Amino acid sequence: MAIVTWQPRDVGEVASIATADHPGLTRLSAPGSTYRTFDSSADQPVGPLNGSLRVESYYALYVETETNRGRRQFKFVPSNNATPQLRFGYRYVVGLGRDTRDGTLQPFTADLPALATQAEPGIVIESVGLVFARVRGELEIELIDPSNPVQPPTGEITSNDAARMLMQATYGPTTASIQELQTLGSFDTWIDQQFAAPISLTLPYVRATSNGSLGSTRHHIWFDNALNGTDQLRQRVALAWSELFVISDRDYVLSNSQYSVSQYLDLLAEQGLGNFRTLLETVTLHPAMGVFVSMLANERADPARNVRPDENFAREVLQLFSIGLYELETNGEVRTQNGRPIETYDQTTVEEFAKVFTGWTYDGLRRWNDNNAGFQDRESPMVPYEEYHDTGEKVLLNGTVLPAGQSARADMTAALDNIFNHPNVGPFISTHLIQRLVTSNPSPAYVGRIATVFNDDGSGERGNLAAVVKALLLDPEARQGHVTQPSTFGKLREPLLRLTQVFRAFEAQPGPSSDGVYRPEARSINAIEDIVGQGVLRSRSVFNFFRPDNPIGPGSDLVSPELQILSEINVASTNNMFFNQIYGFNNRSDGYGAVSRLQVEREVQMAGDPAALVDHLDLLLMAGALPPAVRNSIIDHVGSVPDTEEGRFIRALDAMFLVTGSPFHLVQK
Amino acid sequence: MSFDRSLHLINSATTTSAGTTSTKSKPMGRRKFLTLAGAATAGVTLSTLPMGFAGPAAAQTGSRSLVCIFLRGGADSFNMFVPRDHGVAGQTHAVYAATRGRFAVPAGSLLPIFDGQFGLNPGLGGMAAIAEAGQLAVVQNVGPLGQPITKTDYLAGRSLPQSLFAHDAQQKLWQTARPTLTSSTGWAGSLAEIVAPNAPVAPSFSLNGSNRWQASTGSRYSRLSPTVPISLLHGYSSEQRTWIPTFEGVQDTLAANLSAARASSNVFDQAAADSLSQSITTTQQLQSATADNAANDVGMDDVGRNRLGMQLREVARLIKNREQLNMPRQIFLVRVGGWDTHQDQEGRFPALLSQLDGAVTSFQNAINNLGLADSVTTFTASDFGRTLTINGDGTDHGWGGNAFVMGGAVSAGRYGTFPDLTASATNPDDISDGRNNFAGRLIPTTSVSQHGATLARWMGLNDAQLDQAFPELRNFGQRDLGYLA
Repeated sequence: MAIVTWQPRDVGEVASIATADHPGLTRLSAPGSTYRTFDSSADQPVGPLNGSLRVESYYALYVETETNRGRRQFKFVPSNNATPQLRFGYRYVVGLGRDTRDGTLQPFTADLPALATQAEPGIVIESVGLVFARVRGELEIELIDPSNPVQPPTGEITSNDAARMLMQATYGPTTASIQELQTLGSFDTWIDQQFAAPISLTLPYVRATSNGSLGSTRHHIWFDNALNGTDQLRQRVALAWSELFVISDRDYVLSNSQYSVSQYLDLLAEQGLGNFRTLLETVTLHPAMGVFVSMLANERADPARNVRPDENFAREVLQLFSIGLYELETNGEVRTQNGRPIETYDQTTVEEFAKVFTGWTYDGLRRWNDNNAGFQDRESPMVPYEEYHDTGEKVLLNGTVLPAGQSARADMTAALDNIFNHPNVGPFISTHLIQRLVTSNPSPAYVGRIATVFNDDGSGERGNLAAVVKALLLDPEARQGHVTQPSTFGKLREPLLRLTQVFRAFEAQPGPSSDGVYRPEARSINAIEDIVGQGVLRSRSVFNFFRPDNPIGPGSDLVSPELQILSEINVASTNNMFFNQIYGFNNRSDGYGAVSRLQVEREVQMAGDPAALVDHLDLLLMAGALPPAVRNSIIDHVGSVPDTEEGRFIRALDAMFLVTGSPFHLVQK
Repeated sequence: MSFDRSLHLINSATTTSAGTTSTKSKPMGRRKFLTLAGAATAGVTLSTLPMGFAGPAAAQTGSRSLVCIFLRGGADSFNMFVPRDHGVAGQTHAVYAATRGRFAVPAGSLLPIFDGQFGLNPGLGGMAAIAEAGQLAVVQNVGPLGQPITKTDYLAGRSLPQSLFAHDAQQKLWQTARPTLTSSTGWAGSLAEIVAPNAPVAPSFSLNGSNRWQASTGSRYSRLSPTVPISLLHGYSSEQRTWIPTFEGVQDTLAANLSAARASSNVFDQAAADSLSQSITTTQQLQSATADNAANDVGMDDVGRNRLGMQLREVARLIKNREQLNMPRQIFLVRVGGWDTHQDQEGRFPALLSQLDGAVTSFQNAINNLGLADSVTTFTASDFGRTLTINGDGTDHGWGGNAFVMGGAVSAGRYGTFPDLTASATNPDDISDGRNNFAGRLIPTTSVSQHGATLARWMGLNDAQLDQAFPELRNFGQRDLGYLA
């Protein structure tokens, strides 16, 4: 039986349904506007309909299928819409219907593109079809734009749901932040508040506490901001940008330019929720990036001496910062030709872009080759020297030609526009942000929805990062993926985020002799990467700590970027760090005074009731994801410890270690 | 039940900020040892582990260890091995110097090796001595190829390896010895599966993280650290925590929950459980063999803070202990970055060479002193060679490069075909298409398949196994490059 791939058509087409074909039905409206009503007491096919439907007053979704045994209907109820029971080999026509058994009205939403992709491989929804209205009374249909997902009604955020959002969008939930979010009752509003929160910075602290060659101060303030900053979401997004627009102070020059590196981080925070085109230019012209990926002082060709422009930035800005190696559909799937992925650019294109990125260097110099560090402005954007800029014609992506004779800045602007407008950018950037915040293997439909927002935020703006971040957090897959795709949703936590989560959860305080600096057990925070495998702006190359396509296992189609840095050694050292931190550095400990202390009194107070204690930790550390058997085994152990004053202390510590030391804690879902 | 409130005592007995591991053995006491992931009891005596390998009888006498030194970033290896007194047209020092301009190493500075027609960069004095001892071979102009490719093929886009000139793609092609990115496993992974099937701890170790070379569906390589010593996992090992009186219960609960995670339907739970289990097993099996103590001294303290040397020192320890570890075949990856010298090459390259040379020399001396020279072979690999021409103060991505092989089993000399270095669009070994864009990106004349197969054969693979591990090998005339006895 032939299977035809279903391409969702514009929802705008729905408005063209001719009412003459459907007696009793008035014209259906376009997406976003309100519903139509009609009366019917018999089956009334209406359609075809495309895109998503939010249905008020529907009780069930019927799928009608042609099989070799005739026409059959399957009914789906709203609570069961995760398992559509669609089977390979059948052609489906999707319809909507109502069951009048008890007459209650229930809101019902079907994301039909998602339904299609969640079905068994090979399934096609050939057309979205027919509304079967077995109703008496009102039937309201609203068509919604699939890129504008449905949000749960306000006031109904469970504590687990709140914790899950906070895990995705902050450095870790706290009891207070969970309650605040529940009270607020709206993720949308919370996100807006986060966007408006004052920005936590790095540079002022670094400038005040060091002469710029000390790497540790940058890490101290990063940790402080992560634990205490109010702009949690902005900082998480900035961290995500730091893992795309990678610089690293393992570079010798940057290790001695901590003001520059700190300012770079601050710009990622300040501009990370603005427009992508602006962010791309800021990163391109930042001297720290100029140093790290060698665009700084790149000169145009000198053929007589066989000297060509440096290709480093030209290649990496394409491969790593914007479009990647292969052409992508809007939903992130790689486009192929004859079984091979279609490359987005070739060596020649790299050479052409290399010509664009010539003639730029530090602001403040007395001349092009001025090596006196005192004149190198490492915080202002780089400036052009026309004499060293290639003035030839350049052929960029998609055949765009920059004419000869343009200034360095004109070429730069045009080249960044050329990159920015490449269709890959939406899915490439969306996938990156989704992977950093939510899940390693977003469905193509999810990527497509977010990339669509990147392409146009609804008001015609391309690259609106705030809209993209909000959309990806509010998306049904982010909010409910753990329910709808339990086997593949989620991600291994980044090691640094495991650490911040534990510190935030237990309100860690700097050690008594630490001068207010946070230090986890065993290492100062700037050397923490030896223990946990990761440090902020400390990767060994521009390729970040891990690649987005790192497979979860040989031969698997699923990826797990964070798995790339999980080694036998750092699994052990991280485990032992948490062990020592919990048992050895809590608020009742003496000992090495520089290490931060976890506050455990709240847990000790709760330890009289083992189930309450474990549920509290399950919520705080796992958003309720501990399997029931595991939860029970921890409760059993806690209950086996005597319920004395001393025993409750041990109960609390044992419970904390049993959660953080379990493999489940490595996972966010 | 009472317990000691001064839990700070934990610090004195566990891994502290200095990174020193407590090697004091804890009494097992009444505690039943948790057997996790099928591990044997903790300790050094692992001779009961089954450690068979399958391979032809011919090459299997004695143990053998293979060490890959991956120079990440694309090493400018045409400045490491340089024509000196070599008369072949297009390959003379004069041509080399004209093409490389300011970066050319003067002939008089080169350290002559073999018959003196070629020399090593003066920064590789230790490797020159290794060559002098007959323990160095050079594989010339090697790189990823699916089949032999000419300039005409390149310009027509025929049968080219995928994503040339991109770092991560080319690293993967080197590590899988394939011309496309379709393989998620590498040839060292295939090697480990064949020479050490069913090993509880695969004799395959990376001293610098995840890589595709060792990735395998049937065999798990271990990722060790040269700076963070192996420590047993608290809660998952046999260590006692008598000052936490409930710790036995904690250990039991953790073990049960590890099993639960392994059985979870969520792939990330499974991956986490897998990583934890692997860590438990590996740390137990290897702690003793890698500890920084007198028994494991391999005489490589001269490496100091040389990060490559520190990795190779761990390798040497594991090689020294290979009998105790019951590993007649071992595979190691060591790796350092920084070779992507787009800028300031004149400043950075000497330091990179010094790091490589110092580490390799110390390692080779240690192996020689252990009397194991004939059974340890070390080879270099890198994403690609670099452009022969410069970009002002550095070089950019190339393709073919020179690789080095060292060890007592090596037949000294140069192998493969040295390319034409002429700075001209008509240079047949370069990819330039004549639009005045000559860069000196050389088409390899020897493939990674052939290079890897030569090494894998030495490790015990027969012809059939070689064709499986290197599917493109059959496209090349020479299946064995001949540099290993």
